[in-house]
Amino acid sequence: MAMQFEVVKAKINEILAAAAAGRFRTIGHQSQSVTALSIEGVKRTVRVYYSGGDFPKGASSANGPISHDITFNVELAVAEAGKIDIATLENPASTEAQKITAFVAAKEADELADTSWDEFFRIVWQILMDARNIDFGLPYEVANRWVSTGQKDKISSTGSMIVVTGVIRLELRVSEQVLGDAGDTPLEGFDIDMGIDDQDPVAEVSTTLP
Amino acid sequence: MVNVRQLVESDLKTTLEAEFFLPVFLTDATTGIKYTLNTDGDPLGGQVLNDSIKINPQTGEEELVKNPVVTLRRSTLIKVPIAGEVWSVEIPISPDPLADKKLYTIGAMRASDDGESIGYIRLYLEEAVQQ
Repeated sequence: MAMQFEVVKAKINEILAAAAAGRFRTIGHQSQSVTALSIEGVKRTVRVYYSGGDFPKGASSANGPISHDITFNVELAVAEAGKIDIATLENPASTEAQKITAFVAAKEADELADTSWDEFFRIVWQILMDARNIDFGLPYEVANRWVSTGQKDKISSTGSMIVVTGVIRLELRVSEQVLGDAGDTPLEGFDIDMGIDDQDPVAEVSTTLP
Repeated sequence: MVNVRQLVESDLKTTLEAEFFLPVFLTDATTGIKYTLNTDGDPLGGQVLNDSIKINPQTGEEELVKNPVVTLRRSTLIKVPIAGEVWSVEIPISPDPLADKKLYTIGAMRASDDGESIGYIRLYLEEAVQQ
């Protein structure tokens, strides 16, 4: 049976995915890296993973339930390309003045990525701290929900894209039950006679005249 | 006696501009001038690479990353892009000199890599989309 932290993590993923509305993509934590181009397809991705937990002895019973103070890392990643009036720059008929205007109006990828991450942080923080999500849909099972830290990493260039990552640290408390683990019980074997003869079937031939 | 530095620089004509040559267009943001020819009046170009192999620090495995890089002989450039300037760079979308070109930018985030002592400039390109 899953522990409560696994149940809550799945619920947070579910709530984020439901609230995304095309603004970002929610993915389960994957050990493999996410390439800049795959982030760029949806611009922004969020993933939640269990970062660690404490089991305060004073707030637990010897045989359970046991309090579990959890820290989830909510990772936010944004990838952006620069925006520029390509049509004007590529057009042989464009004058030099028109090209300069296109360059002046261009938005550099690092500025776009930085702004996009800030907006993304705002959205996810508002979802996580929403009063309706105080127990993440698990009443009497989740307590002390709190976003304790928001951290933006340095803007970096990955291949031809500009990437900004960062993390929101979400803390909460759940109660874990100690059910023990007896290992996997082998399934019962089947011993059913299928009634198949070892010999080749022989057609019955009637020897009486109709 | 042949000056070795001059020899290395002239070798770039072979290593960057011979069989592996691909044309490149450069446009300067401050003047709007598009450079399609080099100082000799020939098509401007050099070595164009689209991907590079990197080690993923999380897994230790090699990954192919889209990372367009253009290497040009400095002495062929009418105006040399310097760090902090904004330029657009058009390179062929496939390894064919006649292929359509895609526009990238070089911006403040990625300083170009100068090999001034042997005479080349390497431009790291950033993806750009239509505004």
